[in-house]
Amino acid sequence: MLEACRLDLGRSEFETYLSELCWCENDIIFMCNNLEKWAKDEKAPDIPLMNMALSPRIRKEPLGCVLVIGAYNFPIQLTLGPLIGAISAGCTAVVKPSENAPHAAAIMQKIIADALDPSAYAVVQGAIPETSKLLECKWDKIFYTGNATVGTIIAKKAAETLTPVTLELGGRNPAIVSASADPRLAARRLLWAKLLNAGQVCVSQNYILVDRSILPALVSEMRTALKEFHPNGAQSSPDYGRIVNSRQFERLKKMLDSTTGKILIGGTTDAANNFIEPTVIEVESITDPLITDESFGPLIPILAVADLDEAIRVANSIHETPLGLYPFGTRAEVKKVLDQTRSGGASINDGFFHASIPTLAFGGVGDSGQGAYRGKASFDTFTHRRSVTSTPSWIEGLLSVRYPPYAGKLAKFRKQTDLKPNFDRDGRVRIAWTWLALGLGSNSGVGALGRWVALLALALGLRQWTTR
Amino acid sequence: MNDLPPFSHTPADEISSVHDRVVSSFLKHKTRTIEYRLKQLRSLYWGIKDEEPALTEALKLDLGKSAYEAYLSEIGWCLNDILFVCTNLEKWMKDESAPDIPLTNLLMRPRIRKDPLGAVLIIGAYNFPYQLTLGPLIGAIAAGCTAVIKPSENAPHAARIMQHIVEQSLDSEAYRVVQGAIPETTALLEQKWDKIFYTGNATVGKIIAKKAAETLTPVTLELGGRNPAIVSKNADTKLAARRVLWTKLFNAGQVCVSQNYVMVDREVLPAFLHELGVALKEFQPKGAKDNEDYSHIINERQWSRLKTMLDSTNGKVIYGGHADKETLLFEPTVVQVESADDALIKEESFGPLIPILPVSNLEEAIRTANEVHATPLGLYTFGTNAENAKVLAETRSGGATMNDAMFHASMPTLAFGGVGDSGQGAYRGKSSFDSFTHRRSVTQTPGWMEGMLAVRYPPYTAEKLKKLKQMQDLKPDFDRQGKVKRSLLWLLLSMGGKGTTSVGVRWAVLVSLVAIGSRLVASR
Repeated sequence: MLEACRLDLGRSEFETYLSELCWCENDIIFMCNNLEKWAKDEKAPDIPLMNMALSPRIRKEPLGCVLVIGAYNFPIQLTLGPLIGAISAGCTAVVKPSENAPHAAAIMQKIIADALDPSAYAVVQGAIPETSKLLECKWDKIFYTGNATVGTIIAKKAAETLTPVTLELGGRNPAIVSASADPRLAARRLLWAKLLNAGQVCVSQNYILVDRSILPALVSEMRTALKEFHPNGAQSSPDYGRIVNSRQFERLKKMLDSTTGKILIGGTTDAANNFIEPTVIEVESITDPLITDESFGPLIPILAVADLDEAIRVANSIHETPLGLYPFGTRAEVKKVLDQTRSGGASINDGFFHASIPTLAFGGVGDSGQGAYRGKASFDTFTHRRSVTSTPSWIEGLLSVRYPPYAGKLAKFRKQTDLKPNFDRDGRVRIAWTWLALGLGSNSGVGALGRWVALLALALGLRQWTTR
Repeated sequence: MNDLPPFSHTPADEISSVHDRVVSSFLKHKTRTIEYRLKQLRSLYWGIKDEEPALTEALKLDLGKSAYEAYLSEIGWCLNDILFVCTNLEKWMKDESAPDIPLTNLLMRPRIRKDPLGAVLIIGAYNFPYQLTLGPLIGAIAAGCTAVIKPSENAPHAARIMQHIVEQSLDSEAYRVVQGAIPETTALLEQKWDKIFYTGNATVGKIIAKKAAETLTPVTLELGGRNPAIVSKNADTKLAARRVLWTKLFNAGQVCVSQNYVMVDREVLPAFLHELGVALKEFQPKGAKDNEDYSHIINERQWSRLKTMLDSTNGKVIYGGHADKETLLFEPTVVQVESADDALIKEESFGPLIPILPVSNLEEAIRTANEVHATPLGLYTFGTNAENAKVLAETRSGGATMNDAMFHASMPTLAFGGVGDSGQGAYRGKSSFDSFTHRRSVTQTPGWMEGMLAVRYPPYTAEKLKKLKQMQDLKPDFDRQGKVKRSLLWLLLSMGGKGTTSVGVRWAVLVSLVAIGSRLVASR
């Protein structure tokens, strides 16, 4: 697998180990450790006392047989990751690795054929015709990782048979660096996000909005950081990957050539081995293609903004619902950004850290994706939560209120079930003084108990102290 | 009801501006605070409460629904839902601490924010117009979304009163009603929403799903199914008959989740049929006609559909069969059918038809259920615990009730939804809030951590790789044959417990016993 990723993506052993091998191995162990707990029926929450006799519970049932379509940038993680979830949930599956990472596809096929039950887990290889054929079959779920264009095709096809989908797409993800941010940390962390896998990471920031006042410092720190990360330059660094194929290389080259911005760092490309240097560009406007298109490569456009409000406005106008969002600033600034934007996930004061925690649920929102996975969410995404109740026979007497004739039953029913509002007609909460006293101001039973215990302990302690 | 404006479609050219208004309201972020949401919800509560007579009257006009059913399944239902949501909203809105995070990553404070999805479209249905239109709206308000609701035109009086209540109680910048039928719904679907919540049938559900897919808009679809009830030879036939019949009298069987047909083991078929007759006499002593407790079919179109279904059965009518187009009455009708190909089984009746299919054993029932519809909305199994467990294990459905009909769908706070083509997503109780919420994973990387993070930056020395492996690698507790290895030391230390809690409890008990024991010994 190490070799396959080196051949397909020019990726270093370190990165492949970290983001693919160790990632999947740990995922499996984590699943195995927790599977018994997750597969159990869950007691339904929030059930009123009188309904508890009906044992309402949530069963965890496999959705059925599922289709997993992988991507090329982290071929192992993005193909086997969902498969691990499907297996845990009890589904059978067909896996279609990305043809753009053919060596990885081949090794995964071998592993699956050797390790898994062939009657339940199979691999189909191919490109558009094969994928179309697969989509003509009926699945109980389709899990797709890739771009929004194909994602839309898959969603429309799935809709024809009301097949549920999880879509892990991408976005014009913004990083926002305020005037109060630490330019050195912002530079190192945002660069990291664009060096890993030569920036071919769906969730990495597509562009950076930085307060005018610290733009020079940010760029200078990036220069410093690059010297540290690639002491002999990117092209001769064994740690720096390559663009997956010439088609993507050409696309990136074209993007770079069409910018009206100024290249501040990098800019070198080499078609012979799909090399694109990490390239920092200061762009002029929000209509620059480096901002409006998703690069999915090591292009780092920076746009100066006057203040945080402008940054938020720009981010929302470029893409309302990106996959990731990266605010750098004070606590108050970060809160403002998060409150006034939407995104699949967010990392504060870092590049895509939230996407590098293996057990943290990961997914998009709006057109950056639907559903989530990783950790328990991988199990959940292939599981149907089936609400079940059981009515005992002895309760038939109590149930009589539900059967017609209804005469005289409404009052009785209302007495049993009507909740009372704790607010008046102006929407103001009426304070029930007795409850407040009994609960010592706490909202919940447990909280009230805790406060009583604390009070008692305090009283005892005082008594001890005074009777010394 | 008389002082309300008549039911009329929203002019087509107004629809996009209604949409734009609720979208821009959302983008002003005013729905974000809990104060705003609670204010809206509480106002809606009083709005509904104050209009109880009109709400009841509207249901009588649209469906001939009794005041009892109107309160139980619609008015009281919504009122209680609002109170439940208000009580819990603060707790639900809080960031959740992300579960299962390894120690090294806890420093990044991984948490799940609950963000509103945005501006949403809710399309209601006619059979329980308030619950199915306002229910999702309550969830949308709670989650901080703005919304447009499109009540079903097939229940026009209910649509009118709901419009009145929404206009009187809610912020008109954020919550609007659009009335209409296909053209207006189509115009609504041309707009971009952050979520579409639809309750209805699979045909329209598909149209909506396909349209939503064009813009990658998420949907919740609450559809229906050819839901089976299975009565085994060990079932209590009296209880099964009463409970199955209840579902089909309720709202004259116009309930998406009620059983579409009943499979009964041949051995108990006569007893079951007999008990159906007994129950029918008890529930409708004077019959179905002119019965205040019994609803009528919503309109002529649906009535005719049911009549056609009944006329095309190859089965034998055992009870009922009478229907009246003038009054839209349709008697609860029990039909013993011969095969699963019968029209009454193959189609979803959504009415008071009770086809009974005799089966030889449980296996046949399960096989038939799966063939008729692999993923229905509900499933009802009457039998021993073992039999019920078998049925559940070998079928799929949105939800299921054991030894009863549609009970799981009558618990207001229990999550309710379909699977496969009976629906996507769920709501009710907390899941109403969840249905309109985006769970946004967030982490925070402190500045002081930079030193510790050094391992992630290039150059990727051999030393870094080694360090990384040490930090990251989990060890499998199983060998190459997949057998779990238990080291003796671990067994001793964990005292047979699995998981931190159970091990902790065992240690706590042991320590307490030792402490108490040594006290006793010392005090002698």
